Amino acid sequence: VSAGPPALAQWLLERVLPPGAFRAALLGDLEEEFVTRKRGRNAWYWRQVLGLLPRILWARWRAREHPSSVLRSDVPKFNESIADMIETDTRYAFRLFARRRTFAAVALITIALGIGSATAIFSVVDGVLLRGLPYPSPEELVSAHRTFPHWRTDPALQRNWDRIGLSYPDYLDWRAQQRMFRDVAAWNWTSRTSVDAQGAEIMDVLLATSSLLPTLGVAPQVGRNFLPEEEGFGKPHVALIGDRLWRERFGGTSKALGKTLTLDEQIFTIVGVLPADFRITGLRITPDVWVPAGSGSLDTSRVNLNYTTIARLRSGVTLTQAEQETNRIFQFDRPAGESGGRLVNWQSDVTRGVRRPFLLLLYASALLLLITCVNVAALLLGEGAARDGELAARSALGAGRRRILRQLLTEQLVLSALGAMLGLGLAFWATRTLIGLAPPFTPRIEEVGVNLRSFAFALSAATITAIVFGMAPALTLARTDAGTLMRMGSNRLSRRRGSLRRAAIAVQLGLAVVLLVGAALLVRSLNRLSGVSPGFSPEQLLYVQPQLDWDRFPEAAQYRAYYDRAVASLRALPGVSAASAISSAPFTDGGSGTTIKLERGGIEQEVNAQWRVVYPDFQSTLSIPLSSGRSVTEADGATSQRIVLVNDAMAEQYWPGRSALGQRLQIDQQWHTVVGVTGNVKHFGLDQSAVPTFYLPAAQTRRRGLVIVLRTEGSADAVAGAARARLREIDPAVAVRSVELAAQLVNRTLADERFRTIITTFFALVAALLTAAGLYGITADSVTQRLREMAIRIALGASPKRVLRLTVQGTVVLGLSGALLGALVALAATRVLRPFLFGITPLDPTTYVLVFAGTVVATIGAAWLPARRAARAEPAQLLKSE
Amino acid sequence: MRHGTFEFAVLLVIRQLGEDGYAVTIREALERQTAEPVARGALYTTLARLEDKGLVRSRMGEPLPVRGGKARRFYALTAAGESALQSARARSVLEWRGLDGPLGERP
Repeated sequence: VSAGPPALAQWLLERVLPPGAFRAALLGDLEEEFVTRKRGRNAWYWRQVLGLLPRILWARWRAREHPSSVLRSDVPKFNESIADMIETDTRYAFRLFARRRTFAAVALITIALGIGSATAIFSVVDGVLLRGLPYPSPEELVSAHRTFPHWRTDPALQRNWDRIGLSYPDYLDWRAQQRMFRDVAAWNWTSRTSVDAQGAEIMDVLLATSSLLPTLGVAPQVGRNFLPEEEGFGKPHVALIGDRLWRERFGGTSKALGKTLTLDEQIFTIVGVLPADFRITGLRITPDVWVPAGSGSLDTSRVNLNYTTIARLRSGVTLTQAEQETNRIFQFDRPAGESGGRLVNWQSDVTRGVRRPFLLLLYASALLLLITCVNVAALLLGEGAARDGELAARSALGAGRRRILRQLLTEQLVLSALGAMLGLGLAFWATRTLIGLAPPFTPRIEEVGVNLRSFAFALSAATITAIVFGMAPALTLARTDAGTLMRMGSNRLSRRRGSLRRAAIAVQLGLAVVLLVGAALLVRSLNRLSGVSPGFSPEQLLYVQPQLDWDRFPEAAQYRAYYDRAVASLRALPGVSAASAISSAPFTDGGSGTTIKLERGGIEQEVNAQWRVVYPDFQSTLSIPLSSGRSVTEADGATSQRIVLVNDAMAEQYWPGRSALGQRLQIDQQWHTVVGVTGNVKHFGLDQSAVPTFYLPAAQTRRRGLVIVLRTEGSADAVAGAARARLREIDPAVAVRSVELAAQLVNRTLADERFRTIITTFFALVAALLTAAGLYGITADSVTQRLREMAIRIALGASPKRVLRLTVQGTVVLGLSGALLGALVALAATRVLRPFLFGITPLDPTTYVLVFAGTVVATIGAAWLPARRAARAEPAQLLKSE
Repeated sequence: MRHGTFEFAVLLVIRQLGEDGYAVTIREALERQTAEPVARGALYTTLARLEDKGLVRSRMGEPLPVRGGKARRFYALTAAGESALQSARARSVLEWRGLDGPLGERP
């Protein structure tokens, strides 16, 4: 027999009525009438409730403006009560933190570290990888690459087989034939010398198609874009200039339009100014001057595949459809199957090199965030012991379990909110540091900043972690009602919580071990990599690159004459012990490959190889060892016998087990005889394997693009300045493109590795520190709790040493189990590191042993410090104080 | 029934019931006098509105087991309620007189 009205109906009514007297009276009236009824009273009650609901809702809605309505009078009170409660809880939380300052400070710093580092990494990852490119509808932009499938099998060429550019005539064909894109565009950058009163200056110049700005969806801020008819060779010389040049040289007014610029002795008329802050994403330079594509001296040939291309997909066209068309068109004049096309989303293409390493850092920071959360949870559990009494008192005074839970969660949220604020401040600083540390030419790094998205990330991270990791401690604490406390005694209760806390610390230790193993692997890998010899000696080696204009040095002989003079003159500088010149000096550029013929077993065979043009003494200046034969000398002139040097890799590949000396190579339709074999020199990076390379005497070729190499004694910097000055003396119209230290260039190739290693190591160390502090804390607390027991043991004759061991033991067992757990997880987790490791496997036993041993030592240390207190316990004094 | 008229009827019944009127008895009396069923929602919202306007005041009685431990809310007229009732009566008299009343005046 149901005595009361239907509970659900009653509950419904309670929801729509403001709590208070009015509601109570209404419910009472209904019940009073309900009990007098006999039949169908439940249905009657339901009818009443359903009839009441809309009217009450309507009336309450109408009364919403009425500040003191009966239907609302309880509403503000209701809202106020929650606001009050939040305020009370918050104030209470602050009072608590003020009272327990050490706890609050440690917790805040921990949260700030976790949130700050995660937010900083997120900001970088977001700016570089996640956010759309800064153009309208960036998802439509794709980059197009030419592919040469037959390059795949060739060690000298395979690096680039699917990332080949287009020649300008190729681009014109593509633009005319394509149907899948709204527009296609191409660019190529070069440098030109601009001579004015101050002397010669080298300017980065972009050769851009007139379609480039419209394809990107960008318009000049002043003036106009190129016209299609201005593209091509021998057309009127027009130029767009960058914002910086416009302001610095042309006063930043529209009067700049129509003014002229001289580049390589050609006069260009300025027709427009590019927008401020505009740059082509992923382009390593920000050219000050744009000139129409096709105007370069090499642009009429199909051989110079120098143009980078992008395109904007028509709406509704998929990447696959467009790629089919591109693949067909990109055959151009080549035989079928030799040349194809490939499309990649531009954003992914630009950021392809940093995607994996940045995601790795994101994982590492997530791991650190997790560790800090567990750390705070453990801290809160540790706090529990101090709060049992307080919470029991509150519950005895009538606070319900939910009320206490809410109080504890509010404390969590306050802690997290403060931590997030601190963390955000930290993130501002850390993001700037990360940008500074980032490897040179990290794409889009200029777009990185702490912004609203970072803020949202920090806030949600803080809230989620507060709730998830505050829940467990809060639940165990809220369980403390006065009765339990009395029945169990605070010791048993805190012991239960203690085991949860120990588990938290073990988990934290395990996670820290995962990070430590990862960081140690990266450090060891970087160590190995930097120990690799590049095959030459980059220390105290200077690369000096003058820029010779084609127009002033049209003949190869003029070009060489300049270099002859320059090399001889620089060799005579004080502090220079040797000087020579080489095309594509190691670690300077993409190298240069070519196809040659060689004789093997009486058969002529076409092979691909890297090639360099060298001056005499190149090999002694660079300190490249000579394996056999001789080097290039002054005697190898334009008219003497054609000779060539090959490297060990080439000799081993084509003449294994035989001497390469005396073998013949057909280069540029002329046969050359191998007279020497040199050691292998790395070109692209220390982790790359040697590529077959041959060296030709400069006197016997027409090749340009030589770099002067100087071996210095003493300070290379002093020589650098003197070298610039000397070159200016030789020919003031020749600008010096760059003077660089080879060692710095080699070092720069390690920038990626160094960046991720530094950050991961930093995270790992922070994790280790937090974990050590956690271990210290747990031992210290257990010492405090068991001080009496220890005193009794000592009083009964236990040696302090034994007491010490007893106290340390628990923590060490905890540490060991955590470390073991972590090592097991690391075995699986560090697999993601495989692509980042050089000369070491993710399962490297030494690393594991080192980290494990380090963890054990740290654990013992963290346990031993507080345990000493137990061993020094004065029995009499302690027992008296109880 | 016009809104103002219903309010007037409720005020009248509260006055008749003296200090003992609460929603259940008020509703019974209303139904008796108007010989029409009174919607529960209309009564409660009207009571609330009258109270908001300061025409009636309420006090809570003792909690009663028969009401699930809840108290009755007794209603009584305030001074403002009394004068409102009187002016409503006067207006109603004018309405009865029809055209005798000043033009344009509305209750």
